[in-house]
Amino acid sequence: MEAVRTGEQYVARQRAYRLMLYVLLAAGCAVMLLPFFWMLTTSFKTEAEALRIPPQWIPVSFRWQNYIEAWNAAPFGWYFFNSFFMAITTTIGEVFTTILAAYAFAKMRFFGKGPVFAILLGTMMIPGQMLLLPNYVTIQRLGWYDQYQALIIPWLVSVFGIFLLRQFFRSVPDELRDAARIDGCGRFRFLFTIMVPLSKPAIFTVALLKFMGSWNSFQWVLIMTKTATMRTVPVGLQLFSSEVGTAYEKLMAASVMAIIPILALFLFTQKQFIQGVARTGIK
Amino acid sequence: MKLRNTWIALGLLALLFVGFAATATEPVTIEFWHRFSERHNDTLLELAARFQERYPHITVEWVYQGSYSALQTTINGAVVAGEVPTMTIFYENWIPAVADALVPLEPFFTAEEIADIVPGLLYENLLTVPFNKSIMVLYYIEDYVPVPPTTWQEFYDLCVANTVDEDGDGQIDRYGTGLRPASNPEQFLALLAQNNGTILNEDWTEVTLDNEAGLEALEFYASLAPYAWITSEYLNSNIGYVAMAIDTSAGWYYWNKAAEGAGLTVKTAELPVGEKAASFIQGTNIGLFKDVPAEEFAAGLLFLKFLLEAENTGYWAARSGYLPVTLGGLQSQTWLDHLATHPEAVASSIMMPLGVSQITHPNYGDMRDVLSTMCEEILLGAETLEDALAVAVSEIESLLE
Amino acid sequence: MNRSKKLLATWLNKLVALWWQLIPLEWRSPTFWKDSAWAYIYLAPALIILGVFTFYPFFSAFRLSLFKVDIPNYPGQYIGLDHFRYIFGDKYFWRALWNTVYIVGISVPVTISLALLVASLLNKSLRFRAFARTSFFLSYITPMVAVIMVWRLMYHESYGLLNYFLSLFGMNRIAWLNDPAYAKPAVIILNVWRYVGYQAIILLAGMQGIDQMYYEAARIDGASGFQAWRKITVPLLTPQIFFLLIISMIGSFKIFTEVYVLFNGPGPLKAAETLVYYIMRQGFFGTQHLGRAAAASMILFAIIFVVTLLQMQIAKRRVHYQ
Repeated sequence: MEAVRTGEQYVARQRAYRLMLYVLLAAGCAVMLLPFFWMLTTSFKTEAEALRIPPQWIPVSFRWQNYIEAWNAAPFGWYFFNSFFMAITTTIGEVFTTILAAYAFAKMRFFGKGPVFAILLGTMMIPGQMLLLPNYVTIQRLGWYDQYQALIIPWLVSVFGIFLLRQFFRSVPDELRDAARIDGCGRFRFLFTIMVPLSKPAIFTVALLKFMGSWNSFQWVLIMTKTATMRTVPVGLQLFSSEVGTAYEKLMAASVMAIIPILALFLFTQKQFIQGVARTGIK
Repeated sequence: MKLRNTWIALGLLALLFVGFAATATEPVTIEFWHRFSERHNDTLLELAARFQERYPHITVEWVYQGSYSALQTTINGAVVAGEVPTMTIFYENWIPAVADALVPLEPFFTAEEIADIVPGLLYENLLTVPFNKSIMVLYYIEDYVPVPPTTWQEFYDLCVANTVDEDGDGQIDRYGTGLRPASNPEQFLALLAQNNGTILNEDWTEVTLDNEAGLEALEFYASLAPYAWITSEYLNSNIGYVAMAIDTSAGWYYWNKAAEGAGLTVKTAELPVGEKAASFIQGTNIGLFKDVPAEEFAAGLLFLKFLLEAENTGYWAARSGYLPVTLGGLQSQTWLDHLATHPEAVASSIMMPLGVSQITHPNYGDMRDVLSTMCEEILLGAETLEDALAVAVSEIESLLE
Repeated sequence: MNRSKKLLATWLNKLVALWWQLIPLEWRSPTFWKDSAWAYIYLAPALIILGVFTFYPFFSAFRLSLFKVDIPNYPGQYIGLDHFRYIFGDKYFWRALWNTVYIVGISVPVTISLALLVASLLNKSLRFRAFARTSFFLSYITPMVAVIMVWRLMYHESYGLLNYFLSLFGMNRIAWLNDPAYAKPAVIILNVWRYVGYQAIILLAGMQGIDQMYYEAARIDGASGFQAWRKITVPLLTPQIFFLLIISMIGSFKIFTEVYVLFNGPGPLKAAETLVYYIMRQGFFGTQHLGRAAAASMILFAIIFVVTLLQMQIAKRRVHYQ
């Protein structure tokens, strides 16, 4: 009897615990989803409703024309193409440069390692605004102004990514490297056939964050280009604001369109996070 | 004497330029940088099209340069790199930093043309000419304020009467007016202008902010504090929260939409009148760069003059919600037709010739910062009026150089 | 003459000997230099691009900090350390420094703790977890303009949800955006909210990298779920936690957009003016003291640099790599 009761108690406690987890999760999701919900409903409001105070949390209108009007307000077709092009090329390029550099910092001994890493980290500490003017001049001198090179090449490296990946690479035991060396596996091959597959979740994180960063980059694109067909989606979002007010309903419609690709990408790559090490089987 | 000769020589040269540009047939493209939202796209394109009808060989290319700081950085970068556009819009604060890269346009304009520009908008040597301008007017919610005030005493009384706690919970639900000391010290500057006050004397050698006129204006401004919502938010995105406000005429579109959403009626009126009728003008100017080919400069000059023509500035204003920048424009048929159907624009149109702009002192940007801080400290009670004013005066003095 | 030459020679010899002793042992091995060459080949793509688009403009900004900048005659007149003198004498600089330290000091630990909690939650085999993961990530990918509009409404004095909740507990409403006392908390809340999902994703990726074998061993030893979390998950996540600590500290020191969009300015009585806001106000809003802004950037850089180095020193002892 005693045993049964404790068993029941255990089950009840487990249930209460799980319930608590769900409540926590639901509350968290609600807080996180609120702005998104607002964005979505506002994108269907009329101009007057969008500016209304007290705010209208529950939608009344369903004005899907906002999406058409927003789309037609600027060459959004080009913006999307450029955003995709820029995000994809910079992500692929950055993953490559990052893997190489992070591996060097994580697993190699070399002259000046500490200082070079500190200087690299140091670059993250400079407010970007200060670098814009000299960079504008450099881009002009290189003849890249208003060209794809200006949007892509400077963004092929991210110190953030190198640092993140270095942290993951360092968690991979050194014994693996030694074992591989005995098997006659070169450094380069070891990196791409063993380290990279082992660090898949991390590499996907780096790639995802890079893609998003590129997708959202705004100030740089605005300053380094001038032709409408060279610009990206966030520049399009800017078009709905002026210094005296904002066309919120169109802005929100455009914002929804802007995050759909990222959302899709995230839903797609989530699987990669979950799989993690389960499939590598090396450890 | 020497200077005058230079001007005359430049003027002759200018006529030559213009004649050359008007008769030339080599195609020219002028690049015009701006930061107008997509709402103004069609109007800008229409202006360029009309211009090209007259000068088929000149194409105007509008280039959107985005946010405030992006445009500023791009202009500075372009000057440093020597890759300037034909022309760009400027906020007046930005002009001193690149003044040496701009062409003073005075020699290229006739006396009549200069006299036609709204007096409050003339920039020294015509280094830039006005383009999109708006002026402080009175917005009032008719549901709360049926008849707009005409004197500042009336304004004050209405503020007191409209600061109410509707549900009796001890917290104010609606204020008489809204003041934005940090983001919009121009509300105070409008009051200052009305009281015949100025920040500096004529030749910028002395601070006059603390003379009698200035003190009086500041005291009135401070007396509004208990009846004002003190914020840095846009007043039009908090419709119904204030009964009246001194705000820029350019915001009408958003005020009106917000009022519609809230089921209220918003109207505009001229500012109440103090010692004299006056108000404060804000907006952008256009400047032409030195470092461009002669035919491009000449074409840009033609376009500039085109934009100042009565019908064109009237058309731009009617379509954009800004104001005509010339006296002729204020009387143009297009603008008068617009006023007939848009009563909200009447107050601003009447006030425009009485408006003043910010002074063109190279350190005005810093002075404005000092004024903002002063206004905010007084309204929020962080400093007494006397102390804040004394600090502001000494800081502005140190900016005179 | 000869003697002094001899003396010099012996001293030189001693110096070389000393130097030879001071240099690390590994420098003497040829494989070290071979490895170094390889390492720099691996680093080359990153270093070249950073060199052109980060190091060079950084030095250019540094140079600017010593000039009274004149755009048409760039860079203008050399004035030495005048900008630094001005900044150190400016009470708004010190205020901005204090505001920044305050915001960093609270939001960094709070965000990481919450992110750890969220990541642990998302790592459990709960239903809807894919949905939950996505919603936590949404706060990071939703454009700032949309986010800000909602937060302005959340913070609204009369209609805001936050004040509504406060009123449920009989508390007075707070002028979140217009009262100097609440300006910093408003920024901190927004900052925590914005980055918690993003940090959770990085921690989650770290959790996925932990070998299941550790947990199986713990289970065999009869450890409870919480014990396993405390003894295995958290220690093995220290590389990621350390990474987030540094990244979010740097990010928080550079906080600007949140302030700018929430207040359309530096907050009431500049109560939320951060160092980057100070830099922007000097160089890019209305006033154009580019040299002064560059000087302030150098100071900000120095502060973050020192704090980061300290963190790295501490991390050497505290971070566990598997």
